Amino acid sequence: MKFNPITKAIYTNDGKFVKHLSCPLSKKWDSLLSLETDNKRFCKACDHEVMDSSKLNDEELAEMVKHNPNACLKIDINQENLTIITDARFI
Amino acid sequence: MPDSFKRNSQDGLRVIKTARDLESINEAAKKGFKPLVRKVESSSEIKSKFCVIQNKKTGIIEVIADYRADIDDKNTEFIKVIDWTYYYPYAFKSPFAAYLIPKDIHIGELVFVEDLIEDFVGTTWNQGDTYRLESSEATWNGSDLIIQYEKSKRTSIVG
Repeated sequence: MKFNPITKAIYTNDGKFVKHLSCPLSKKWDSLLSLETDNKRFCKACDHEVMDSSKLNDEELAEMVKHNPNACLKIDINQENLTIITDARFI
Repeated sequence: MPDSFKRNSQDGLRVIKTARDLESINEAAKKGFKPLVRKVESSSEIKSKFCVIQNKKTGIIEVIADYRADIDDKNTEFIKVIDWTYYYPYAFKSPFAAYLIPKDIHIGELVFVEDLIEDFVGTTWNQGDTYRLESSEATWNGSDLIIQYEKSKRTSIVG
């Protein structure tokens, strides 16, 4: 999984675009409701679940977003399954 | 997020929009907003790094941002043409912008600023890079918006 923190775009490791992270409420993971499993939390504002992407591989991620383009994700820029990329336009 | 969700409030707070060029600032003024104009200034606390590598045969370059994607000295395919360098990773079309303050705002009112003009550190990466905070709550004191910013080492993003 690759992530550009400037544009907030997520890609698979082979460069396929998955989605942009966009939360107009600027929700924090810690403020979301904990569930029985630790790989997701519940956002009361939007009434749906937010998946922790550190527990997903590229195939699972792409399949989830394909199934539900509005799926919400949490990314921690320090998580191990992530490579940070940059947008060369700004250099 | 669901399409049905109205993007005009956060926990019931009024949203303060930002206009980022002269035309949209004046357009908002004509509609009755009071534009609170600010300089767009980059903070030295916001920084991102990059490195440019080049294929020795083809000349094609690649930009990398993560030390884990770095090449080693024994790499025969690529050569590092720009070593790791920090830069300011954002670009704005105008050197000024304005918060659009509604005329009926109350002194002491807590609002949600959707697009911050000022630079605050929002996210910190353990490789040293720091990224802007995009939005924040703020309080109107009668003449200015006081951004409710708490310095933290936030590392996660939801969306």
